[in-house]
Amino acid sequence: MKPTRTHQLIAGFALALGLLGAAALLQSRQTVRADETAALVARTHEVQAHLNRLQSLVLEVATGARSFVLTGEPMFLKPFEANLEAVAEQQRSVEQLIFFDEQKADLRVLEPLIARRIAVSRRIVELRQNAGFEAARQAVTSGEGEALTDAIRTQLARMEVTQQTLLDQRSAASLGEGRKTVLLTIGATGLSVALFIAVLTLAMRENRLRQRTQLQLDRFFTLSLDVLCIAGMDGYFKRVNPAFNQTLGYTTDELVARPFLDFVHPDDRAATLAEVEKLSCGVPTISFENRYQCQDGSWRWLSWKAQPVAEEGVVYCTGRDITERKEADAEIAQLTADLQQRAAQLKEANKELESFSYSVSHDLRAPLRHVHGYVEMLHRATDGQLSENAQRYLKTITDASVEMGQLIDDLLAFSRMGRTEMKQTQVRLDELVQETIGGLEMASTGRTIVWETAPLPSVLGDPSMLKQVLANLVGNALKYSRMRDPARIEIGCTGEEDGRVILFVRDNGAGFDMQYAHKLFGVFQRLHRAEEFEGTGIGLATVRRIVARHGGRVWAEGAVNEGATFYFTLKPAPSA
Amino acid sequence: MNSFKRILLVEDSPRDAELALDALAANHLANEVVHVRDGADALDYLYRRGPFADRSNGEPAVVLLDLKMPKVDGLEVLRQMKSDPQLKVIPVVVMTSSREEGDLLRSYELGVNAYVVKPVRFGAFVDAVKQVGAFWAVTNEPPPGSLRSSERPRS
Repeated sequence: MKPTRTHQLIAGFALALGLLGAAALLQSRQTVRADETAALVARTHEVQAHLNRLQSLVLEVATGARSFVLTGEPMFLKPFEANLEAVAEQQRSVEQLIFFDEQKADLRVLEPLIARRIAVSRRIVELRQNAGFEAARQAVTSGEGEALTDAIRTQLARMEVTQQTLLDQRSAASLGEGRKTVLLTIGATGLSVALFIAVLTLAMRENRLRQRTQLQLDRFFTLSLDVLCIAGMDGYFKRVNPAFNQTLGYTTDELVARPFLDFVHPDDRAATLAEVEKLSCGVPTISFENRYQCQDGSWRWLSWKAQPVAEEGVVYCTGRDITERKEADAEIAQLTADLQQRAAQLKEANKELESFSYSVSHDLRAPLRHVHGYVEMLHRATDGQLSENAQRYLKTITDASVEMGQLIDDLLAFSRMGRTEMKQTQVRLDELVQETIGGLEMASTGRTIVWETAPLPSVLGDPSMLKQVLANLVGNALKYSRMRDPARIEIGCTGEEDGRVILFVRDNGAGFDMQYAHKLFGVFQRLHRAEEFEGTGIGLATVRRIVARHGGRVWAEGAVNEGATFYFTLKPAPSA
Repeated sequence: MNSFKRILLVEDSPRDAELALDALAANHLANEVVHVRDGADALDYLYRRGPFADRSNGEPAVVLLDLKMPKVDGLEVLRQMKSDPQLKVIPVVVMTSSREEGDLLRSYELGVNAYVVKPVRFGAFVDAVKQVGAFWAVTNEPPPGSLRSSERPRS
């Protein structure tokens, strides 16, 4: 796990404390050692004082002995005896005080010397008492005592030196230790102070960052368009943002005063409770929708996302006002239902139309066939016995029935054009035109016709429907140019309109009066009398219907006896 | 002289039937034409049921079938014939006024042998009946079991 900033701070703090503790420990140890050194110095001085005293006592013993020798006065013997006691006492004191081995060795040399010197003095004293002055004087002048005194003095001097040397060594060591300790203490203290400063700086920066983050969060909380809230597990809001007030129209006090379930639509309460139950088990809400009542009594749809935080005993929630979307959804659903109903109606109507046209196809044609057939049989049965007029009547009946048959066929074809499914493929108009012209060969036999066909683009559409368009237009051109010799029929392409190519079929035939142009494409609309040009008046209506189903338009230009041009637009096939 | 085979004409319209019979007669093809008025009768005839229980033996060489008929329509007759192992070998020619694509498609799916739209012009109608009759009743060799009218047992 990556150490957090808090962990780092705590570690830094602990390290600084540790360093401080170590410095204090060092310092206390140094104090103990300094005390020891001071005690040592004092003791050394004491030893030295005793030694000095010892030396002067020894001298006094010698001097006392000599004085007795010179005078023979017993009064001098008293201090001599007393001094002997003092010497012994001083020696015991020194023995107790010294502790270095070197000192003890020195003392072992000194004590016999002192003992011998005292023995010399005692002997002299005894000589004076027992042998008289001369014997004692000789003993004194023999120099034995002086030599011992010098040896004692020398030994004492050496002992002082030894002692001083030891003291100096100890002091120096103590001083060195003390310096080191001071340096270490200063170092450790300095380091810990630096650490404290660093830790403090970091902590302060961290704190500033936290404060800023908190401020940013607060700003977002206030800014949010969505409602934000912290809700307690007790069913009350703890904190709500201003969007909450704006959306529902309540003040914050009003919102936190009642259990939030009070605001929820009665129909949504069970679901809301279930969701709250889940949240209290620690399951976050990904998406939940319910209605809240506004202050004005209206309802708003809110879509919630929520995260429970068990240790705080609260749930953090964000809700979006989806009322408009809900209304739009409802509207769309209504529209869809309407549309479906209408589609069903349309389908029904289409089915009716289908069966209607089937009936027309089947039932309307049958009587015509019968009329035709029985006329024919009548014709045969009478076998030329009828008058010419009667025969003409019969022929008219036949013609009329044939004409009606054609009308029915055209009408059915026209109706089929509007209903049949349309394919959408690439259609090569060049090939289609050649096929169409080939198919009209029967109608053009015996006539002089000049065909002018320009290269045509490929278009997108239903091949069989487009063939019907060309067949009707070219067929018309042939029909209405019947009286021309030569007839001139031009098929070409002239520019574009709204991303569609404009195609045209032009003839030099009968033409038409432009003031009736709007009637050209109507069902059963004809601009020529049937005696002039046969036809049912459905061909151009079919053309218009097919082109319209392809998203294009048709129009015509012409003048009486000056030919006509029919234009139509189609979507070009994508190249390549 | 050609040996004629029996033709079953299924046609509800008496006028159409008369015209068809006339056309067949005009072409001397009407020796043995059985005319029934609807699909139910046609099936009764083919299965020797009801009024046709004791009809003469042998199956027609061709069935000329109208589509739009009361009771059982032509497509149903066609379906039953073509799903029957014995009857499916009999050639069926639909003769109808309908040029509707749905009828055409359905008929061919069911296995029709030919589909003829009755022309309005009588001349063309006669031509069509003559061609159909001549082809199926004379030129075409019917499946075994069809009855030739010349072989018909005289009663």
